[in-house]
Amino acid sequence: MSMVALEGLRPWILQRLTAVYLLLYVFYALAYWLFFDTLTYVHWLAWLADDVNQILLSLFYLSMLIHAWVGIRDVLLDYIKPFLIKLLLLFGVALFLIGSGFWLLKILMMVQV
Amino acid sequence: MRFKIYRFNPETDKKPYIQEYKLDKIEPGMMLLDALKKIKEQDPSLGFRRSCGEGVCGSDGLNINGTNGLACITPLADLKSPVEINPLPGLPVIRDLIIDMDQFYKQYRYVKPYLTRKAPLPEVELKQSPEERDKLDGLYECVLCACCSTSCPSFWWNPDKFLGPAALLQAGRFLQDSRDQTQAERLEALDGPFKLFRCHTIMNCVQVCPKELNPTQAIGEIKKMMLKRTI
Repeated sequence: MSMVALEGLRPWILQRLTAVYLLLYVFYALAYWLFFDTLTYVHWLAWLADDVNQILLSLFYLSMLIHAWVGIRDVLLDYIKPFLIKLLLLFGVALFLIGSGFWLLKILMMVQV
Repeated sequence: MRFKIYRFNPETDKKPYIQEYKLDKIEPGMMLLDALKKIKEQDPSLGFRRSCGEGVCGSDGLNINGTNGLACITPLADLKSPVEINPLPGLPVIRDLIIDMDQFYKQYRYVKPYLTRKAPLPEVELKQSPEERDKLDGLYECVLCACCSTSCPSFWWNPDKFLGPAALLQAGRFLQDSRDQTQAERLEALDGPFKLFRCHTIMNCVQVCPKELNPTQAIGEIKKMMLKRTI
């Protein structure tokens, strides 16, 4: 993650690719729950237990974390001037996002059991 | 017509201040530069840059009623009175409306705004097809007035790291040139989080350019070239 802080093109591409995936997934999830299934706890649990849905949802969260990282990184690079504070904030944000990722993973694993 | 003009002389003033001037005789077709010249007759201490007076040299870039533009091609009839005139924002003021353009030129120099070749130069001129030449349209016309870069928030925040629209337009101009042979090196020099990628397509540059050029589009083309090179 910290390497991405020093690059220009790769984060820019990632931001766009993840945006496309986020949008497609939102359409997919909305379409599914609005047209094909009733949203109850039992249905939702069964849906999440499905391997394909687990992978798609994991990718959704991964995209969201990467997208958030590039976005917040851009704001920090724009506005925070002192190098040490910038580094500390970038590190903090990365830590928070990676932590959130692991937390999400834990929740998704629980569904499978 | 009334004018509110930014004044600052570092030798005598502690702080910048706004001075008001009045011109009674406004002739039809008068440009803002003509008004400034008349004001300078009233008060010879007022400092501003100007040269050609017809939008070719790019010397008289100013912030006019909040928007950057060239005084010599801005008709007084289009301006609301009182006309508020400030130096171009984001760069240090030397005196009154005269700014220090060092940082701007430094960024311009960084993109190597000249043809670079690996093969030795031929005895005859380097030829281009009309199609190759057409690619330079909308890029070569820049007069380096700095209206775009000094209207760009990304340039305000990081004038030392972000190259700014004017320099990037020139980077695009030489990347598009069929006679240039260092495209890969040029693109590499632009990668990194700051030089090019601080552009967030705010498009103030497009709005203010007195030559109606489109730096945002040029930056987009550079990004496309980078993308093509990585695939």
